[in-house]
Amino acid sequence: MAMTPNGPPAAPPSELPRLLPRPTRAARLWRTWQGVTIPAATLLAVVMLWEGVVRAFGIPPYLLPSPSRVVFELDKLGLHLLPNIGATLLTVLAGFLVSVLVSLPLAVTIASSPVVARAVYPLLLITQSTPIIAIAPILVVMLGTGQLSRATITFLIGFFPLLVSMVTGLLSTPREAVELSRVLRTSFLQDLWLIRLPASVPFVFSGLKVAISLSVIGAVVAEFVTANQGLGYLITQSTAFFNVPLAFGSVILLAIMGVLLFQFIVLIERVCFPWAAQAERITRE
Amino acid sequence: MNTPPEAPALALDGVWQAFESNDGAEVLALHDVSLSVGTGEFVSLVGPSGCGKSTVLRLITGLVEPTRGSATIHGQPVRDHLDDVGMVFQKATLLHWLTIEDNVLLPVRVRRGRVTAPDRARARELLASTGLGQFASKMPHELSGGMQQRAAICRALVQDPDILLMDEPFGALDALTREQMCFDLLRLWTERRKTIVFVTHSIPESVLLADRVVVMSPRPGRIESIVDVPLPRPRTLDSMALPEFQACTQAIRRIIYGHDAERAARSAAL
Repeated sequence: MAMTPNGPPAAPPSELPRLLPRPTRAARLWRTWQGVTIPAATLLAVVMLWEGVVRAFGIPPYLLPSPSRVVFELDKLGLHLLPNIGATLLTVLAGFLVSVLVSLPLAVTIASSPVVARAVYPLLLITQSTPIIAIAPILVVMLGTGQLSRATITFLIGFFPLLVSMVTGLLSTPREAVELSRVLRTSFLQDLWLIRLPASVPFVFSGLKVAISLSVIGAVVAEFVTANQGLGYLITQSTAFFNVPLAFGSVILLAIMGVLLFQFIVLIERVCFPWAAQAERITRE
Repeated sequence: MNTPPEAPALALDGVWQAFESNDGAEVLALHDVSLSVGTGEFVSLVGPSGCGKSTVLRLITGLVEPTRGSATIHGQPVRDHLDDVGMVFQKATLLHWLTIEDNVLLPVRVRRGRVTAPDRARARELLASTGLGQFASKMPHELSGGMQQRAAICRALVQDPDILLMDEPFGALDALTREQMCFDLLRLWTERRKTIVFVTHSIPESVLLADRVVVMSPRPGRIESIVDVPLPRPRTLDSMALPEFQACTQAIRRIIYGHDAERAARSAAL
Protein backbone atom coordinates (compact mmCIF):
# COMPACT_ATOMS: atom_id res chain seq x y z
CA MET A 1 0.00 0.00 0.00
CA ALA A 2 1.61 3.25 -1.10
CA MET A 3 1.33 6.01 1.45
CA THR A 4 1.29 9.57 0.25
CA PRO A 5 3.52 11.86 2.33
CA ASN A 6 1.49 14.16 4.50
CA GLY A 7 3.11 17.31 3.13
CA PRO A 8 1.42 20.21 1.34
CA PRO A 9 -0.51 19.14 -1.77
CA ALA A 10 1.14 19.59 -5.15
CA ALA A 11 0.99 23.27 -6.08
CA PRO A 12 -1.19 24.19 -9.07
CA PRO A 13 0.82 25.37 -12.12
CA SER A 14 2.30 28.76 -11.31
CA GLU A 15 1.31 30.39 -14.64
CA LEU A 16 -2.46 30.53 -14.08
CA PRO A 17 -4.14 33.56 -15.67
CA ARG A 18 -5.44 36.09 -13.16
CA LEU A 19 -9.23 35.94 -12.82
CA LEU A 20 -9.87 39.14 -10.88
CA PRO A 21 -9.31 42.60 -12.41
CA ARG A 22 -6.01 44.11 -11.28
CA PRO A 23 -6.46 46.82 -8.60
CA THR A 24 -5.85 50.35 -9.85
CA ARG A 25 -2.89 52.33 -8.57
CA ALA A 26 -5.22 54.61 -6.58
CA ALA A 27 -6.92 51.63 -4.97
CA ARG A 28 -3.56 50.22 -3.91
CA LEU A 29 -2.41 53.57 -2.45
CA TRP A 30 -5.70 53.89 -0.57
CA ARG A 31 -5.38 50.38 0.84
CA THR A 32 -1.81 51.03 2.02
CA TRP A 33 -2.39 54.42 3.61
CA GLN A 34 -5.97 54.39 4.85
CA GLY A 35 -4.72 53.49 8.36
CA VAL A 36 -3.03 56.90 8.42
CA THR A 37 -5.21 59.08 6.22
CA ILE A 38 -8.56 58.38 7.90
CA PRO A 39 -7.45 59.24 11.47
CA ALA A 40 -5.52 62.28 10.21
CA ALA A 41 -8.56 63.55 8.32
CA THR A 42 -10.81 63.11 11.38
CA LEU A 43 -8.35 65.00 13.54
CA LEU A 44 -8.07 67.83 11.04
CA ALA A 45 -11.87 68.04 10.79
CA VAL A 46 -12.26 68.31 14.58
CA VAL A 47 -9.61 71.06 14.82
CA MET A 48 -11.23 73.02 11.97
CA LEU A 49 -14.69 72.66 13.50
CA TRP A 50 -13.32 73.88 16.85
CA GLU A 51 -11.62 76.89 15.21
CA GLY A 52 -14.75 77.69 13.22
CA VAL A 53 -17.12 77.49 16.21
CA VAL A 54 -14.88 79.71 18.39
CA ARG A 55 -14.62 82.34 15.64
CA ALA A 56 -18.29 82.19 14.57
CA PHE A 57 -19.65 82.68 18.07
CA GLY A 58 -16.87 84.96 19.28
CA ILE A 59 -16.13 82.84 22.34
CA PRO A 60 -13.58 84.63 24.56
CA PRO A 61 -10.21 82.82 24.93
CA TYR A 62 -10.50 82.48 28.76
CA LEU A 63 -13.59 80.28 28.21
CA LEU A 64 -12.55 78.32 25.11
CA PRO A 65 -9.44 79.37 23.18
CA SER A 66 -9.29 78.56 19.48
CA PRO A 67 -6.60 76.12 18.31
CA SER A 68 -4.72 78.95 16.62
CA ARG A 69 -4.71 80.91 19.89
CA VAL A 70 -3.37 77.82 21.75
CA VAL A 71 -0.56 77.45 19.24
CA PHE A 72 0.17 81.18 19.51
CA GLU A 73 0.52 80.97 23.32
CA LEU A 74 2.72 77.88 23.12
CA ASP A 75 4.86 79.60 20.50
CA LYS A 76 5.27 82.60 22.81
CA LEU A 77 6.95 80.33 25.37
CA GLY A 78 9.00 78.75 22.59
CA LEU A 79 12.14 77.06 23.84
CA HIS A 80 11.06 77.64 27.46
CA LEU A 81 8.64 74.76 26.91
CA LEU A 82 11.48 72.26 26.58
CA PRO A 83 12.61 72.16 30.24
CA ASN A 84 8.95 71.80 31.25
CA ILE A 85 8.37 68.92 28.86
CA GLY A 86 11.67 67.37 29.98
CA ALA A 87 10.76 67.63 33.67
CA THR A 88 7.41 65.91 33.16
CA LEU A 89 8.94 63.24 30.92
CA LEU A 90 11.58 62.55 33.56
CA THR A 91 8.93 62.08 36.25
CA VAL A 92 6.86 59.81 33.98
CA LEU A 93 9.82 57.63 33.06
CA ALA A 94 11.21 57.45 36.62
CA GLY A 95 7.84 56.40 38.02
CA PHE A 96 7.26 53.96 35.19
CA LEU A 97 10.71 52.39 35.52
CA VAL A 98 10.30 51.92 39.27
CA SER A 99 6.86 50.36 38.60
CA VAL A 100 8.46 47.81 36.28
CA LEU A 101 11.37 47.09 38.62
CA VAL A 102 9.07 46.60 41.61
CA SER A 103 6.27 44.72 39.81
CA LEU A 104 8.34 42.04 38.10
CA PRO A 105 9.97 40.39 41.16
CA LEU A 106 6.82 40.96 43.21
CA ALA A 107 4.69 39.32 40.52
CA VAL A 108 7.04 36.33 40.31
CA THR A 109 6.91 35.91 44.10
CA ILE A 110 3.13 36.22 44.25
CA ALA A 111 2.64 33.84 41.32
CA SER A 112 4.94 31.17 42.71
CA SER A 113 3.63 31.09 46.26
CA PRO A 114 -0.05 31.09 47.27
CA VAL A 115 1.04 31.91 50.83
CA VAL A 116 2.84 35.09 49.73
CA ALA A 117 -0.10 35.93 47.47
CA ARG A 118 -2.55 35.71 50.38
CA ALA A 119 -0.22 37.73 52.59
CA VAL A 120 0.51 40.52 50.11
CA TYR A 121 -2.83 40.98 48.37
CA PRO A 122 -4.65 42.82 51.21
CA LEU A 123 -1.76 45.28 51.48
CA LEU A 124 -1.83 45.89 47.75
CA LEU A 125 -5.59 46.33 47.76
CA ILE A 126 -5.34 48.89 50.55
CA THR A 127 -2.68 50.94 48.72
CA GLN A 128 -4.79 50.71 45.61
CA SER A 129 -8.07 51.66 47.23
CA THR A 130 -6.49 54.71 48.83
CA PRO A 131 -6.86 57.71 46.51
CA ILE A 132 -3.23 58.51 45.78
CA ILE A 133 -4.08 62.17 45.24
CA ALA A 134 -5.24 62.25 48.87
CA ILE A 135 -1.95 60.98 50.24
CA ALA A 136 0.17 62.96 47.77
CA PRO A 137 0.49 66.01 50.09
CA ILE A 138 1.45 63.67 52.95
CA LEU A 139 4.10 62.06 50.76
CA VAL A 140 5.51 65.50 50.01
CA VAL A 141 5.84 66.17 53.74
CA MET A 142 7.57 62.81 54.19
CA LEU A 143 9.80 62.79 51.12
CA GLY A 144 10.36 66.48 50.48
CA THR A 145 9.39 68.67 47.55
CA GLY A 146 11.84 67.15 45.06
CA GLN A 147 11.87 64.58 42.29
CA LEU A 148 11.66 61.72 44.79
CA SER A 149 8.12 62.70 45.83
CA ARG A 150 6.97 63.09 42.25
CA ALA A 151 8.45 59.75 41.14
CA THR A 152 6.90 58.02 44.17
CA ILE A 153 3.43 59.43 43.46
CA THR A 154 3.74 58.40 39.79
CA PHE A 155 4.87 54.92 40.80
CA LEU A 156 1.98 54.47 43.25
CA ILE A 157 -0.53 55.38 40.55
CA GLY A 158 1.03 53.27 37.80
CA PHE A 159 2.31 50.04 39.30
CA PHE A 160 -0.82 48.20 40.41
CA PRO A 161 -2.35 47.40 37.01
CA LEU A 162 1.10 46.33 35.84
CA LEU A 163 1.52 44.01 38.81
CA VAL A 164 -1.94 42.52 38.30
CA SER A 165 -1.36 41.79 34.62
CA MET A 166 2.06 40.30 35.32
CA VAL A 167 0.62 37.97 37.98
CA THR A 168 -2.27 37.06 35.68
CA GLY A 169 0.19 36.37 32.88
CA LEU A 170 2.39 34.15 35.03
CA LEU A 171 -0.61 32.22 36.37
CA SER A 172 -2.24 31.75 32.99
CA THR A 173 0.52 29.62 31.53
CA PRO A 174 -1.39 26.91 29.63
CA ARG A 175 -1.92 23.79 31.74
CA GLU A 176 -0.20 21.63 29.12
CA ALA A 177 2.89 23.85 29.16
CA VAL A 178 3.04 23.51 32.94
CA GLU A 179 2.79 19.72 32.58
CA LEU A 180 5.52 19.76 29.92
CA SER A 181 7.72 21.77 32.22
CA ARG A 182 7.20 19.22 35.00
CA VAL A 183 7.91 16.26 32.73
CA LEU A 184 11.13 17.94 31.59
CA ARG A 185 12.06 18.45 35.26
CA THR A 186 12.82 22.16 34.85
CA SER A 187 14.30 23.97 37.82
CA PHE A 188 12.40 26.95 39.26
CA LEU A 189 14.50 29.41 37.25
CA GLN A 190 14.33 27.36 34.03
CA ASP A 191 10.56 27.10 34.39
CA LEU A 192 10.37 30.85 34.88
CA TRP A 193 12.82 31.82 32.16
CA LEU A 194 11.97 29.27 29.47
CA ILE A 195 8.23 28.90 29.96
CA ARG A 196 6.36 31.16 32.39
CA LEU A 197 7.92 34.53 31.57
CA PRO A 198 7.71 34.17 27.77
CA ALA A 199 4.14 32.88 28.13
CA SER A 200 3.24 35.99 30.14
CA VAL A 201 4.75 38.53 27.72
CA PRO A 202 1.44 39.49 26.03
CA PHE A 203 -0.09 40.11 29.47
CA VAL A 204 2.97 42.06 30.61
CA PHE A 205 2.71 44.34 27.61
CA SER A 206 -0.96 45.08 28.09
CA GLY A 207 0.01 45.96 31.67
CA LEU A 208 2.87 48.15 30.45
CA LYS A 209 0.52 50.02 28.12
CA VAL A 210 -1.87 50.79 30.97
CA ALA A 211 1.01 51.66 33.29
CA ILE A 212 2.64 54.16 30.90
CA SER A 213 -0.67 55.98 30.44
CA LEU A 214 -1.27 56.03 34.19
CA SER A 215 2.30 57.26 34.73
CA VAL A 216 1.54 60.37 32.68
CA ILE A 217 -1.51 60.98 34.86
CA GLY A 218 0.58 60.29 37.96
CA ALA A 219 3.26 62.77 36.91
CA VAL A 220 0.65 65.52 36.41
CA VAL A 221 -0.93 64.78 39.80
CA ALA A 222 2.54 64.98 41.35
CA GLU A 223 3.23 68.28 39.65
CA PHE A 224 -0.08 69.70 40.82
CA VAL A 225 1.05 68.96 44.36
CA THR A 226 4.70 69.91 44.23
CA ALA A 227 6.73 71.27 41.34
CA ASN A 228 8.49 74.36 40.08
CA GLN A 229 8.40 73.28 36.46
CA GLY A 230 6.72 70.73 34.22
CA LEU A 231 3.56 70.64 32.12
CA GLY A 232 1.34 70.00 35.18
CA TYR A 233 2.97 72.99 36.85
CA LEU A 234 2.32 75.08 33.72
CA ILE A 235 -1.37 74.19 33.92
CA THR A 236 -1.75 75.27 37.57
CA GLN A 237 0.26 78.46 36.98
CA SER A 238 -1.47 79.51 33.77
CA THR A 239 -4.99 78.89 35.06
CA ALA A 240 -4.14 80.90 38.18
CA PHE A 241 -3.52 83.84 35.82
CA PHE A 242 -6.49 83.02 33.54
CA ASN A 243 -4.12 82.13 30.72
CA VAL A 244 -6.49 79.35 29.57
CA PRO A 245 -4.90 79.03 26.08
CA LEU A 246 -1.56 78.08 27.66
CA ALA A 247 -3.32 75.55 29.97
CA PHE A 248 -4.96 74.05 26.90
CA GLY A 249 -1.60 73.94 25.15
CA SER A 250 -0.03 72.10 28.08
CA VAL A 251 -2.87 69.59 28.10
CA ILE A 252 -2.41 68.97 24.40
CA LEU A 253 1.34 68.48 24.88
CA LEU A 254 0.58 66.00 27.67
CA ALA A 255 -1.80 64.10 25.40
CA ILE A 256 0.81 63.96 22.65
CA MET A 257 3.40 62.74 25.16
CA GLY A 258 1.00 60.02 26.36
CA VAL A 259 0.26 58.83 22.83
CA LEU A 260 3.96 58.77 21.87
CA LEU A 261 4.97 56.84 24.98
CA PHE A 262 2.14 54.36 24.41
CA GLN A 263 3.19 53.88 20.79
CA PHE A 264 6.77 53.43 21.95
CA ILE A 265 5.69 50.46 24.11
CA VAL A 266 3.73 49.05 21.17
CA LEU A 267 6.83 49.42 19.00
CA ILE A 268 9.06 47.64 21.53
CA GLU A 269 6.61 44.76 21.65
CA ARG A 270 6.42 44.50 17.87
CA VAL A 271 10.19 44.58 17.45
CA CYS A 272 11.34 42.46 20.39
CA PHE A 273 8.39 40.07 20.78
CA PRO A 274 6.64 39.78 17.41
CA TRP A 275 5.01 36.48 18.46
CA ALA A 276 3.48 38.19 21.51
CA ALA A 277 2.01 41.03 19.44
CA GLN A 278 0.60 38.37 17.15
CA ALA A 279 -0.87 36.33 20.03
CA GLU A 280 -2.57 39.50 21.27
CA ARG A 281 -4.02 40.20 17.84
CA ILE A 282 -5.35 36.64 17.63
CA THR A 283 -7.02 36.76 21.06
CA ARG A 284 -8.56 40.14 20.22
CA GLU A 285 -10.13 38.69 17.09
CA MET B 1 24.23 0.26 32.01
CA ASN B 2 24.22 -3.06 33.84
CA THR B 3 20.67 -4.12 33.25
CA PRO B 4 19.46 -7.41 34.68
CA PRO B 5 18.94 -9.53 31.58
CA GLU B 6 15.34 -10.43 32.30
CA ALA B 7 14.13 -7.02 33.52
CA PRO B 8 11.28 -5.65 31.39
CA ALA B 9 11.65 -2.18 29.89
CA LEU B 10 9.07 -0.97 32.34
CA ALA B 11 6.94 -2.56 34.99
CA LEU B 12 4.20 -1.62 37.40
CA ASP B 13 3.95 -4.05 40.27
CA GLY B 14 0.86 -4.09 42.45
CA VAL B 15 0.38 -0.31 42.17
CA TRP B 16 -2.32 1.38 44.22
CA GLN B 17 -2.66 5.08 43.69
CA ALA B 18 -4.70 7.29 45.97
CA PHE B 19 -5.20 11.06 45.79
CA GLU B 20 -6.67 13.44 48.27
CA SER B 21 -9.45 15.51 46.77
CA ASN B 22 -9.98 19.15 47.75
CA ASP B 23 -12.46 18.28 50.52
CA GLY B 24 -9.93 15.86 52.05
CA ALA B 25 -11.67 12.69 50.86
CA GLU B 26 -9.51 9.91 49.45
CA VAL B 27 -9.95 9.07 45.77
CA LEU B 28 -8.61 5.76 44.52
CA ALA B 29 -7.16 6.29 41.03
CA LEU B 30 -5.52 2.90 40.54
CA HIS B 31 -6.53 -0.39 42.12
CA ASP B 32 -3.79 -3.03 42.23
CA VAL B 33 -2.38 -2.44 38.74
CA SER B 34 0.38 -4.74 37.53
CA LEU B 35 1.75 -4.41 34.02
CA SER B 36 5.03 -5.33 32.42
CA VAL B 37 6.16 -4.04 29.02
CA GLY B 38 9.07 -5.66 27.18
CA THR B 39 11.82 -3.77 25.39
CA GLY B 40 10.67 -2.65 21.96
CA GLU B 41 7.08 -3.59 22.66
CA PHE B 42 4.13 -1.43 21.58
CA VAL B 43 1.36 -1.43 24.19
CA SER B 44 -1.91 0.50 23.99
CA LEU B 45 -4.02 1.51 26.96
CA VAL B 46 -7.75 1.92 26.28
CA GLY B 47 -10.65 2.58 28.53
CA PRO B 48 -13.29 5.17 29.35
CA SER B 49 -12.43 8.50 30.99
CA GLY B 50 -11.34 8.25 34.60
CA CYS B 51 -9.93 4.73 34.30
CA GLY B 52 -6.46 5.90 35.32
CA LYS B 53 -4.74 5.67 31.92
CA SER B 54 -3.07 9.03 32.37
CA THR B 55 -2.13 8.17 35.94
CA VAL B 56 -0.25 5.14 34.64
CA LEU B 57 1.78 7.41 32.36
CA ARG B 58 2.42 9.88 35.17
CA LEU B 59 3.73 7.01 37.29
CA ILE B 60 6.19 6.03 34.56
CA THR B 61 7.40 9.61 34.12
CA GLY B 62 7.90 9.79 37.87
CA LEU B 63 5.54 12.76 38.21
CA VAL B 64 3.64 10.79 40.86
CA GLU B 65 4.97 8.17 43.26
CA PRO B 66 2.88 5.04 43.71
CA THR B 67 1.01 5.09 47.01
CA ARG B 68 1.61 1.35 47.26
CA GLY B 69 3.54 -0.98 44.97
CA SER B 70 6.38 -0.04 42.63
CA ALA B 71 7.05 1.44 39.21
CA THR B 72 10.34 0.41 37.62
CA ILE B 73 12.25 0.99 34.40
CA HIS B 74 14.77 -1.73 33.51
CA GLY B 75 14.25 -3.10 37.00
CA GLN B 76 15.21 0.14 38.75
CA PRO B 77 13.05 2.90 40.25
CA VAL B 78 11.73 5.29 37.59
CA ARG B 79 13.50 8.32 39.08
CA ASP B 80 16.87 6.81 38.05
CA HIS B 81 15.76 6.70 34.42
CA LEU B 82 14.11 10.06 33.82
CA ASP B 83 16.05 10.70 30.60
CA ASP B 84 15.01 7.31 29.24
CA VAL B 85 11.40 8.46 28.92
CA GLY B 86 9.94 10.79 26.29
CA MET B 87 6.41 12.09 26.60
CA VAL B 88 3.87 13.23 23.99
CA PHE B 89 0.69 14.97 25.12
CA GLN B 90 -2.74 15.24 23.54
CA LYS B 91 -1.99 18.80 22.52
CA ALA B 92 1.30 19.45 20.76
CA THR B 93 2.14 22.01 23.47
CA LEU B 94 4.81 23.71 21.39
CA LEU B 95 6.03 26.96 22.88
CA HIS B 96 4.76 29.52 20.40
CA TRP B 97 7.70 31.88 20.91
CA LEU B 98 10.27 29.32 19.78
CA THR B 99 10.94 27.99 16.29
CA ILE B 100 10.09 24.37 15.60
CA GLU B 101 13.77 23.45 15.90
CA ASP B 102 14.16 25.22 19.25
CA ASN B 103 10.98 23.56 20.48
CA VAL B 104 12.42 20.17 19.58
CA LEU B 105 15.63 21.10 21.43
CA LEU B 106 13.82 22.26 24.58
CA PRO B 107 14.57 19.05 26.57
CA VAL B 108 18.28 19.39 25.71
CA ARG B 109 18.27 23.00 26.83
CA VAL B 110 16.61 22.09 30.11
CA ARG B 111 18.89 19.11 30.79
CA ARG B 112 22.25 20.60 29.78
CA GLY B 113 21.67 24.34 29.87
CA ARG B 114 22.90 24.91 26.33
CA VAL B 115 22.50 23.54 22.85
CA THR B 116 25.51 22.50 20.75
CA ALA B 117 25.89 22.19 16.99
CA PRO B 118 25.60 18.36 17.08
CA ASP B 119 22.32 18.77 19.02
CA ARG B 120 21.01 21.03 16.28
CA ALA B 121 22.08 18.58 13.62
CA ARG B 122 20.27 15.77 15.43
CA ALA B 123 17.11 17.86 15.78
CA ARG B 124 17.17 18.67 12.07
CA GLU B 125 17.72 15.03 11.20
CA LEU B 126 14.74 14.05 13.39
CA LEU B 127 12.55 16.70 11.81
CA ALA B 128 13.59 15.59 8.34
CA SER B 129 12.73 11.97 9.16
CA THR B 130 9.18 13.03 10.06
CA GLY B 131 8.79 15.15 6.94
CA LEU B 132 9.30 18.48 8.69
CA GLY B 133 12.73 19.17 7.19
CA GLN B 134 11.83 22.53 5.63
CA PHE B 135 9.87 23.67 8.68
CA ALA B 136 12.71 23.74 11.24
CA SER B 137 12.90 27.53 11.34
CA LYS B 138 9.13 28.13 11.15
CA MET B 139 7.05 29.20 14.12
CA PRO B 140 4.52 26.67 15.50
CA HIS B 141 1.43 28.62 14.36
CA GLU B 142 2.61 28.30 10.75
CA LEU B 143 2.17 24.51 10.93
CA SER B 144 -1.00 22.39 10.72
CA GLY B 145 -2.17 20.42 13.76
CA GLY B 146 -0.70 17.17 12.47
CA MET B 147 2.65 18.79 11.73
CA GLN B 148 2.71 20.36 15.20
CA GLN B 149 2.12 16.95 16.74
CA ARG B 150 4.97 15.50 14.64
CA ALA B 151 7.22 18.22 16.02
CA ALA B 152 6.08 17.30 19.53
CA ILE B 153 7.04 13.67 18.83
CA CYS B 154 10.46 14.86 17.63
CA ARG B 155 10.82 16.79 20.90
CA ALA B 156 10.04 13.63 22.86
CA LEU B 157 12.66 11.73 20.84
CA VAL B 158 15.45 14.33 20.84
CA GLN B 159 17.25 12.82 23.83
CA ASP B 160 16.87 9.38 22.23
CA PRO B 161 14.91 7.81 25.11
CA ASP B 162 14.20 4.05 25.15
CA ILE B 163 10.61 4.59 26.15
CA LEU B 164 8.02 6.78 24.49
CA LEU B 165 4.83 7.58 26.39
CA MET B 166 1.93 8.97 24.37
CA ASP B 167 -1.16 10.36 26.07
CA GLU B 168 -3.90 10.40 23.41
CA PRO B 169 -1.43 12.03 21.03
CA PHE B 170 -3.76 12.04 18.03
CA GLY B 171 -6.95 12.83 19.95
CA ALA B 172 -7.04 16.47 18.86
CA LEU B 173 -6.46 15.75 15.16
CA ASP B 174 -9.02 15.28 12.40
CA ALA B 175 -9.81 11.70 11.39
CA LEU B 176 -7.78 11.68 8.15
CA THR B 177 -4.66 13.16 9.72
CA ARG B 178 -5.12 10.76 12.60
CA GLU B 179 -4.92 7.65 10.41
CA GLN B 180 -1.94 9.06 8.57
CA MET B 181 -0.19 9.76 11.89
CA CYS B 182 -0.80 6.17 13.03
CA PHE B 183 1.05 4.76 10.04
CA ASP B 184 3.83 7.32 10.41
CA LEU B 185 4.19 6.35 14.06
CA LEU B 186 4.39 2.67 13.12
CA ARG B 187 7.16 3.46 10.62
CA LEU B 188 9.03 5.47 13.25
CA TRP B 189 8.65 2.63 15.75
CA THR B 190 9.93 0.10 13.20
CA GLU B 191 12.95 2.26 12.42
CA ARG B 192 13.90 3.21 15.96
CA ARG B 193 12.56 0.32 18.03
CA LYS B 194 11.30 2.28 21.00
CA THR B 195 9.18 0.83 23.75
CA ILE B 196 5.88 2.66 23.35
CA VAL B 197 2.97 3.01 25.74
CA PHE B 198 0.11 4.60 23.86
CA VAL B 199 -3.02 5.85 25.62
CA THR B 200 -6.11 6.28 23.46
CA HIS B 201 -9.89 6.41 23.47
CA SER B 202 -10.08 4.77 20.08
CA ILE B 203 -10.35 0.98 20.04
CA PRO B 204 -9.47 0.56 16.32
CA GLU B 205 -6.44 2.81 16.79
CA SER B 206 -5.25 0.80 19.78
CA VAL B 207 -5.55 -2.48 17.86
CA LEU B 208 -3.97 -1.16 14.68
CA LEU B 209 -0.87 0.04 16.53
CA ALA B 210 -0.18 -2.29 19.42
CA ASP B 211 1.21 -5.73 20.17
CA ARG B 212 -1.00 -5.85 23.25
CA VAL B 213 -4.00 -3.78 24.26
CA VAL B 214 -4.49 -3.14 27.96
CA VAL B 215 -8.19 -2.57 28.66
CA MET B 216 -8.84 -0.53 31.77
CA SER B 217 -12.05 0.22 33.64
CA PRO B 218 -12.90 3.14 35.90
CA ARG B 219 -13.80 3.84 39.53
CA PRO B 220 -11.38 2.64 40.74
CA GLY B 221 -9.02 2.43 37.76
CA ARG B 222 -7.85 -1.12 37.18
CA ILE B 223 -6.76 -3.44 34.41
CA GLU B 224 -9.80 -5.32 33.18
CA SER B 225 -8.04 -7.45 30.62
CA ILE B 226 -5.00 -7.58 28.36
CA VAL B 227 -5.72 -8.52 24.74
CA ASP B 228 -2.99 -9.84 22.43
CA VAL B 229 -3.17 -8.51 18.87
CA PRO B 230 -2.21 -11.29 16.43
CA LEU B 231 -2.08 -9.00 13.37
CA PRO B 232 1.06 -9.45 11.25
CA ARG B 233 3.64 -6.66 10.93
CA PRO B 234 4.17 -4.37 9.14
CA ARG B 235 0.64 -3.12 9.48
CA THR B 236 -1.03 -1.21 6.67
CA LEU B 237 -4.47 0.07 5.74
CA ASP B 238 -5.28 -3.51 4.66
CA SER B 239 -4.62 -4.77 8.19
CA MET B 240 -7.88 -3.16 9.24
CA ALA B 241 -9.79 -5.36 6.79
CA LEU B 242 -8.45 -8.60 8.30
CA PRO B 243 -10.86 -10.76 10.35
CA GLU B 244 -8.32 -10.76 13.23
CA PHE B 245 -8.65 -6.98 13.40
CA GLN B 246 -12.43 -7.18 13.65
CA ALA B 247 -12.19 -9.97 16.22
CA CYS B 248 -9.82 -7.95 18.38
CA THR B 249 -11.81 -4.71 18.32
CA GLN B 250 -14.98 -6.67 18.97
CA ALA B 251 -13.44 -8.49 21.94
CA ILE B 252 -12.27 -5.19 23.45
CA ARG B 253 -15.68 -3.57 22.90
CA ARG B 254 -17.32 -6.48 24.67
CA ILE B 255 -14.94 -6.14 27.62
CA ILE B 256 -15.63 -2.41 27.97
CA TYR B 257 -19.37 -2.30 27.31
CA GLY B 258 -20.20 -5.72 28.72
CA HIS B 259 -18.67 -4.63 31.95
CA ASP B 260 -20.68 -1.40 31.96
CA ALA B 261 -23.89 -3.26 31.16
CA GLU B 262 -23.23 -5.66 34.01
CA ARG B 263 -22.69 -2.80 36.43
CA ALA B 264 -25.82 -1.00 35.23
CA ALA B 265 -27.86 -4.15 35.73
CA ARG B 266 -26.40 -4.61 39.21
CA SER B 267 -27.12 -1.03 40.33
CA ALA B 268 -30.64 -1.25 38.86
CA ALA B 269 -31.26 -4.37 40.93
CA LEU B 270 -30.22 -2.62 44.15
